[in-house]
Amino acid sequence: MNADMVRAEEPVFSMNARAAERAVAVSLRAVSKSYGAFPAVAGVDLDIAPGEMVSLLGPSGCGKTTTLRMIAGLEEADAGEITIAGRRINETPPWRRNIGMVFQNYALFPHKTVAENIAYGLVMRKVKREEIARRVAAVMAQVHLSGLEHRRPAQLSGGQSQRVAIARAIITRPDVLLFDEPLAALDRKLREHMQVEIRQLQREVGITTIFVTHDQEEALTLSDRVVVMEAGRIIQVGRPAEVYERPVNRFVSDFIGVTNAVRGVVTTGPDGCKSLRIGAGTIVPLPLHADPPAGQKLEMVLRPEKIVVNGATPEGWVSIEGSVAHVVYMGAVTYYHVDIGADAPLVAMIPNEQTFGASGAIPIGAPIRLGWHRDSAMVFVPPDP
Amino acid sequence: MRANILTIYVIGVLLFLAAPVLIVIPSAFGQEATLAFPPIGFTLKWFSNILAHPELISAFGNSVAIALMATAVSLVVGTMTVLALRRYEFPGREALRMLFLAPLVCPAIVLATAVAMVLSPLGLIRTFTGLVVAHTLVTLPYIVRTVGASLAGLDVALEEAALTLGANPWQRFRTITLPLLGSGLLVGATFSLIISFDEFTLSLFIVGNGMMTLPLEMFNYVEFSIDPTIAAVSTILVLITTAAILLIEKLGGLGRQFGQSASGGAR
Repeated sequence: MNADMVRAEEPVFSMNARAAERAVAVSLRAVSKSYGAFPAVAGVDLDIAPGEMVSLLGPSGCGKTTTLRMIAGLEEADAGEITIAGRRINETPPWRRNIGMVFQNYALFPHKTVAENIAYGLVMRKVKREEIARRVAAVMAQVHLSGLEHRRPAQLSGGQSQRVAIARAIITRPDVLLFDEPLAALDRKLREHMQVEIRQLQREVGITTIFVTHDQEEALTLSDRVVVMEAGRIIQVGRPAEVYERPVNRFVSDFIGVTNAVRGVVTTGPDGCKSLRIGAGTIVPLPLHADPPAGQKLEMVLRPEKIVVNGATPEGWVSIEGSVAHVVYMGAVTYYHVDIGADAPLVAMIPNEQTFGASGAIPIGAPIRLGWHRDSAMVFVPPDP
Repeated sequence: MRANILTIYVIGVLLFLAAPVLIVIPSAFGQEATLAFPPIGFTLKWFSNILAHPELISAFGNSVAIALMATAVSLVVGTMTVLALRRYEFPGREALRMLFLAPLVCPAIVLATAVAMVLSPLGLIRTFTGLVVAHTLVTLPYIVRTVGASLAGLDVALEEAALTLGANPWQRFRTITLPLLGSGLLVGATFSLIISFDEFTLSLFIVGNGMMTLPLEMFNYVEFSIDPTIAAVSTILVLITTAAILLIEKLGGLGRQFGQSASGGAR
């Protein structure tokens, strides 16, 4: 991504282009892996810049963990090339790859103390005793573990175990840090806390990081770029805002965030713009950039928070009448499920400041007017039903 | 009333289980020249009489040496076996796992006949090597069982973590796998020593002049005389075995602790 931008903007200086090419910390080229007849990873291409934090996001079985394990050397790629810091490492065993990995259940060595766990990578590298002691103390301070040197892993809380696992992985100054769903075992509060902590630490240390998760919020929170995977392939790569605001297909839009989808047939609206006729004659204007042929069956996708309720709809906004079918009060926001005569209700997310809390809620059955900027909507050709 | 009946019943069962030991130990101290219970008088002469029977002493030495050798071989082979059974997936893996445990369920007399038929043409009958080979056959399943159980409780991610941290396979084995298998190895080794030391049927087909094991030498002894010397030997064996069982108990407890901490870090 960064590399592309540099090349696009400064095509004159070939030096810069070469610098940009060198500035790839990890690269995957047509990497594939099958288990028997099942293709776990089917031709993955990915470049990760130095210091970048990239998350691999997807449902279980999408190949994200297999991809990570191939980078770690714990699985062997059937085809393709993996490079770290410009060196092909397909044939390099994991212990010579200079990587750091944080496992799902931390995988702390139960028979070693916290300090021994953290020092392990340095001991294997035959670093001098005094230097090990110095670096262990430094990294323990960095992850707020000082004072727990002599504890055993069994005596640690979830958050502390997590920090030990991270400290153990970064102390060797690896070329790339790999996370395999490390927060899945933590409760929600602690998970969010650790997300912030991991992100801060990663910025501080400036280490290239690949983070596997099936939690889309986690991916959006943590990453410079999100790689969305499905069935062993990369579907979309982009900044968190890109994959959220401009998903390339229904899979991505469904997987990341809550999504409304209504089906209809393309017609030419009263203003001459392309519109969607849904259900019993409701006409919904489509985004201006979309220009599908009339008569085509399409699916319009719209994020709930893009919709305003009973508000002003200035130029360029869509306004639709409907009736409230269901109300979900969630504290900070309220979700209104609105029947607009489509195959599914449209869900609008309204911050509760707008309705002054529960007392301001619109009752079920009441008429309601929904509005959104017409370019907030996205259209996809629906998969055949 | 019911509590009393239960108490009597429990004491009865315990007495039945302990009876052989309770009879043989006091008998070793009786003054009469025949094995008798209850013993009459008190003496330690039967213990010193053991020293007057060099064949018992040398048989004891043989049994100890055989048990140590069979256990050492079983530990190495057994550990390598369970590591391979875990690490590699291949057709017939489960069948192979059962095969390694087969000597446990095979009738000892069948096994003994088969072993003798194999060892005889190799010239290993009446040899130390032959006895070690035969004993390894029966001690190996115990190692495979105990070490296999320890290994099953060992999270694969621990070994993978070691690899990603720069440990080569040998370093990984030495610093992670072996220490975490420790309790399984010790318990297995203790079992193996007892099983080998106690082994009778297999040994019967292999021993001969100049190469006797203690159980068979004791059997020979009681065929000709039943003075309390044999009770004295038995008393010593009971003491050794009890010490070993206590050791297993202690290590078993340790093993459970290790099992907890191995997964305790996670949840």
